[in-house]
Amino acid sequence: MKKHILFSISVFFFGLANAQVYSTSTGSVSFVSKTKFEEFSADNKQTQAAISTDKGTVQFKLPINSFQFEKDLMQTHFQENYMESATFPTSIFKGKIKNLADVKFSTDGTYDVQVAGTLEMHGVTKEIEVNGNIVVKGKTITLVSNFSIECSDYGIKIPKNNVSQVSNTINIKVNCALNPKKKK
Amino acid sequence: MKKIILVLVVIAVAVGAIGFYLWNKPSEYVSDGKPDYTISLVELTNDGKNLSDSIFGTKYVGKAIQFEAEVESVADNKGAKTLTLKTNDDGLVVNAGFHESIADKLSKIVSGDKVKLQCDCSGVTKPESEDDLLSEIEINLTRCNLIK
Repeated sequence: MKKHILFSISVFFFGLANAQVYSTSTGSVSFVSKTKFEEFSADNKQTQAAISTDKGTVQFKLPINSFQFEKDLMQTHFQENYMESATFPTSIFKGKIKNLADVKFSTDGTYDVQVAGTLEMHGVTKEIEVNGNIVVKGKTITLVSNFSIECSDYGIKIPKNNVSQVSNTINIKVNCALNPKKKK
Repeated sequence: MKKIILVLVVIAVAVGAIGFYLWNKPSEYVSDGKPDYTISLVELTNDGKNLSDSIFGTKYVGKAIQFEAEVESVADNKGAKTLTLKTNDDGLVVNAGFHESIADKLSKIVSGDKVKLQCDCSGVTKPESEDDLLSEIEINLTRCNLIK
């Protein structure tokens, strides 16, 4: 009985010691739009991301104007016409890992996860569920995911004369390496 | 009649050339030209703290800002550098992002250096509640240029 209590106490304190928030302000999120006639992409290397390893909650904040395009006209259209970034400067995802028990944050490895949450973009908030990987390597946790969204779900209107160039379906790639958040 | 056709062809070619140029014009990787604001970092961070996201956005997002600051840390993300700037406020972070094409210009920048930057502002993000995982106010600056 004593051993059992001692074990329970040690597990509790070990759990507390491991309960930590990992974060970054320099994560990468990119997207690709592909139609028969045009393919373009943009990168954002100023993505804020965080994970709570004990609660299994994750959060992403993307400054829309930090997306970098190859072509100036696309960048201007993206910011001013599609995303209206002066009015909606940030996109936010908040979610929770559904299979947190499958992830061993203390053991190096790649873990498949399903995350359910809400994506706020262009002033519209929608529930989504995405699959991804958590890569644990030493003290770094990398969140990786590929998923698609529909522009129309977020009130992003593509003018009729641009439908051949801009896809309604946007493929998004997430790759954010997080480190233990410094305690203040 | 021939003259009219010739004029129309010249106009069509000119319009096509201008359209082709505008369509393919590469985007700017660094903020240059005349800044919209030349302010102190304190003024910018005070606005970041005190103004609502939307008012801050209307004032600064997409605008070129020139300011001086001290470097707190330098991060590298696949060649793209980000300078985190000193703010004297633990709850407020200012990140200045640089495109990989000008990474060489920053090769000698280290923590403690005083720099003069011109960047485009991407906005401010604020925690929505006390248990928000991203608990700092963060001002994001992008397409930064190292003036000195």
